[in-house]
Amino acid sequence: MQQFFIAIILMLGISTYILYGQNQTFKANQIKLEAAVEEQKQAMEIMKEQYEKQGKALMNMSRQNAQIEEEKAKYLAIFSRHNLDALAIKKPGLMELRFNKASEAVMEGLEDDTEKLSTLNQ
Amino acid sequence: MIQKNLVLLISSIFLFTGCSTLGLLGPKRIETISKPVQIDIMQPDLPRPVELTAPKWYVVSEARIANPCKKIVQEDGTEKRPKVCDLSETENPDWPEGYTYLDRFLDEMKKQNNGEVVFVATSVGDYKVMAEDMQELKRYLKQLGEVVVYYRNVTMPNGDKGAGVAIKKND
Repeated sequence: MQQFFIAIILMLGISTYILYGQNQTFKANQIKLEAAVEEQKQAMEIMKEQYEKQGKALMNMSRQNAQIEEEKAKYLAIFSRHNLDALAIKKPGLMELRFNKASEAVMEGLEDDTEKLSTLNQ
Repeated sequence: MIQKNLVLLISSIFLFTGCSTLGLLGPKRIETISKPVQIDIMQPDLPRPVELTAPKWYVVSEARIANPCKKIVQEDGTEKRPKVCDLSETENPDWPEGYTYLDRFLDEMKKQNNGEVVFVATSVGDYKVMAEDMQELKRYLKQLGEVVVYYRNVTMPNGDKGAGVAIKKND
């Protein structure tokens, strides 16, 4: 009978040891999983921010593109509003002045636009 | 008796360990591996701005060029331009009577080309086409610029937030 109790105690000790070990592993796993979940949350947060940033930048770009199109249409509307042939016949001096001024403005505009772009890195 | 004890012992083991001893290897350790995906995008140097020179346009027609009289100082000190005067008293006395924009243009071309009349001409319609094409090119350049700005904005590091998504491994 005594032997039996000793064996039981021994088995209990062994099983407690095994269970303790398993429990430790579970705890470590739990910590790792929690850390992994936290990492995923952070990653999701960063991704969300990144998407928002991209969305904003995309919207801004679309707005700018619409403005550029509008600007072009505004410029070309001058041609449809005026009969350049008739004006050139009637007022060649004035038209010469206008043509040259407009050409200069276009060239300067292009220079300014590319200047803005080239200084983005500064 | 021994057999009975053995059965009791084995059943006690399973009872106390909750059958966990069946899987002798025990629970597997979880290994979490986080791979950093930091995207480092080198921002290239942008091309230098364009340097353009506007061409000079001549609008030529057979319309007469006004050749106003020179201003004459009045008694009260003010200047007044008489409506009628001799050719010698005009602003451009070397212009003959009835001098047109075409004459002036031809004279200008002769002066530029050692007495020869040489020039490249375009019609008003073609000028219009060229102006429209120029605007189209300008639009394309500007919109392309906006795309560059967009890509730059979304790939530039912003504080501690990286260019792309980064996962830090928590040890």
